[in-house]
Amino acid sequence: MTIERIRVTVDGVSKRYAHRVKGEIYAARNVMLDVRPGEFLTLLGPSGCGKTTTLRMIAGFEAPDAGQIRFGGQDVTGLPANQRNIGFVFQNYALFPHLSVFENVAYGLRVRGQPTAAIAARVAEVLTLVGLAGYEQQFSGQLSGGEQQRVALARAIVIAPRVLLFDEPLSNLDARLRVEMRQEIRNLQRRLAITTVYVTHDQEEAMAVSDRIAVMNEGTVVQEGTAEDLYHRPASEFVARFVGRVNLVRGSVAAVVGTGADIAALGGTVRVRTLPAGLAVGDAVQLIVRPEAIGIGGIGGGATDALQATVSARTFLGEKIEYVVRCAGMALQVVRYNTGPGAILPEGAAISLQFVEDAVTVLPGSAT
Amino acid sequence: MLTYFPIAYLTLRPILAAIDSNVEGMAFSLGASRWRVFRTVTLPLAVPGLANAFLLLFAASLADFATPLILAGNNFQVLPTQAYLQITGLFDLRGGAALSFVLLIPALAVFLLQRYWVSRRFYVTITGKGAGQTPFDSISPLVRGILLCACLAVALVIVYFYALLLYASLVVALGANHAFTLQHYKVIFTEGLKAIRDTLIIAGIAMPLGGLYGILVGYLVTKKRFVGRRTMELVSMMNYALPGTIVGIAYLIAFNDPPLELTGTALIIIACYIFRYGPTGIRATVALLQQIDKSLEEASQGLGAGSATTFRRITLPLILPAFFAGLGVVFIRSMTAISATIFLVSIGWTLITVKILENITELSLGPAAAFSVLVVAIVFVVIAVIGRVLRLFRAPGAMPVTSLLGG
Repeated sequence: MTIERIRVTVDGVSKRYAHRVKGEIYAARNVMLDVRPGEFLTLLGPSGCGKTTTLRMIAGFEAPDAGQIRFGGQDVTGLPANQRNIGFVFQNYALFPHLSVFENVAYGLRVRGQPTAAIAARVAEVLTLVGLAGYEQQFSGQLSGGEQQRVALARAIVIAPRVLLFDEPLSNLDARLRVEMRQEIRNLQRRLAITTVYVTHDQEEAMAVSDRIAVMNEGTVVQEGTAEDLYHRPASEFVARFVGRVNLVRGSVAAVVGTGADIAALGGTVRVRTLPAGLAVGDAVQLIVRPEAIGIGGIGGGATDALQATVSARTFLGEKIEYVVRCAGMALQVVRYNTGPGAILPEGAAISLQFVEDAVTVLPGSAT
Repeated sequence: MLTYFPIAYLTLRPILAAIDSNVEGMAFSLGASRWRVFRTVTLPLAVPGLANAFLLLFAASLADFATPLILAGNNFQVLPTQAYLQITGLFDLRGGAALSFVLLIPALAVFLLQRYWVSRRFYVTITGKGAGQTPFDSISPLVRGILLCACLAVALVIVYFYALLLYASLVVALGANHAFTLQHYKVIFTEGLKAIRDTLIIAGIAMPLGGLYGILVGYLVTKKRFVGRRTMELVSMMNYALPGTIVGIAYLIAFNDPPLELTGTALIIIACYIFRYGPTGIRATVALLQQIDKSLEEASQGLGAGSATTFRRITLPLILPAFFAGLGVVFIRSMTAISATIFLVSIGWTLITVKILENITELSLGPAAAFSVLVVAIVFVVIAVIGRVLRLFRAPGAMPVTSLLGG
């Protein structure tokens, strides 16, 4: 199978809709994306953020009001979907109910007028690839959700598309199958190295499958980067909240220490490794701290001066324990791995907290 | 009443079937008695269906022509029959038209009421997650027994009617001489042969055209955006909803003069059948098209198919059941209709149903019964064939097309 590896560029694309109540709204506003050849890029965001609209514009199902979409060097903005050579996997799979699995997968090849023998060979090859050899004569109604998903995937890749597009493909599957399928999708994409754009609202799914993630909100891309970038260095409160769980703590810059700083917060000081440019002593800031980056008692290396807190609630989850602790009147989420019955803190216990220095992100905050 | 309760049944069944039994179970678990659940949950949810059935029955009774004519004669005068007598007996086209216009007002009112009020009040939402539900027993065993007996009695009466019909066609004279004879069938296949042939020819021509008309209009009003789309839908359905008497007289008047002088030809009957009964196909097509998710066509498009290919290979096969349903209904109605076409028959072209009516008025019950048995037999055969074809075209796992034949 020869796959043409191409770059997909979404250049300042906008799409407006007339909304009955809100008037004219932007489903996508000046969206910029650069998907490198063979890369797996995920559009992540809450419902209504414009990720699906963007994907559908890449597919050619919808026309942008402004901007340009390029496949490789070719401007495809005005090209209808059937001339773009794309593979699209729909949320509801969209299998043709009147056609067998074989005919569903063969459809794109038949439309391209390929010889029957070549079609049979190609369909067999792809069905084997997705683990559905032997299912040729079944109909979609006889398949489980996971199997339908595989047929949809086979149908999309059989035509050796230039770009593979996924619209929330796993949202109709149960939790375990979802984890299994996302791994399969990822492995398949690695093997075929087709440039891929994937849409989901599930941050864990996005982190598991993607080379890079573009977080979208209200029609625009708000941050782009690897899963680690987004998790450790969120550029805004929105991204921090959307990717993973988070504690938001208000404070102010007490002292600048090298590239980092001491931040006055929670009745003490918190040392951070990096301070964004432009912030000076006295400026209000917001600290973003993940629940697993807060140490309890003496645990956690490289910590700053201890903050005093009490355990106000705990949830035992087996491998880990989630605590809610009160510190200077604020409720913080803290997660600890369960290292044994003796390490579990009772409710009401007085503890000290340490924030892991390089795991704290500082954002400029309002003065209140 | 017996003639029309299948309509009520077909209207109510999908609605009752679509009520989530968990809702009833929920009410039951909250401590409500069975009767209370029925009264406060089941019944209100079924109200749109009941109202719909009521309106349909009202419209159908309003329009019914043959039943009162045969059963009541001149003792109980209804508007459609009066209009018929005005036109055929007194050759008073205007008087008949005036009478049917009086009929038009309540009929149109019911049609519009049904369309704008009832159709908006369907509480039942189809979520597609209906699997694995246990039906809730909203009635106690005793009540169920009583209801079952009542329904069984009605069913028996209906079977009895048809048995009686068959019997009447096979004896010399029902009620007087019960000797077995095939004389009546001999009569209908000699004297009545023309009516049979005419009916079959007309039904045979109307069937494919009506089916095509159904999917064409159905596709246009669902998938295309154009000026007057809603009007087109409304007008096409109106022809179906209005009493046959009105439609018949309207056709008679409209095509009585040049440029379209069709009165007395087979063409006028065929046209009447196509436009009067084609709407079933329209509704079936619309219903099927609405079930077809947009993503199916997009998937085809994404795989490289143009819109013509997509229509031919995806959309068309999926709405084929509607086409066959349309065919079936047009054919069956062409065999059984009378209220509209009685105004349109002529010496040149006549129909079995008209012949039956003539025989009845001449009190020759035997041939009438024989004709009726023949119609029932033909209709059964056609329903069976269409059912077979529908199954053939329904891939396993495709959307269900049951009850499309209803209405």
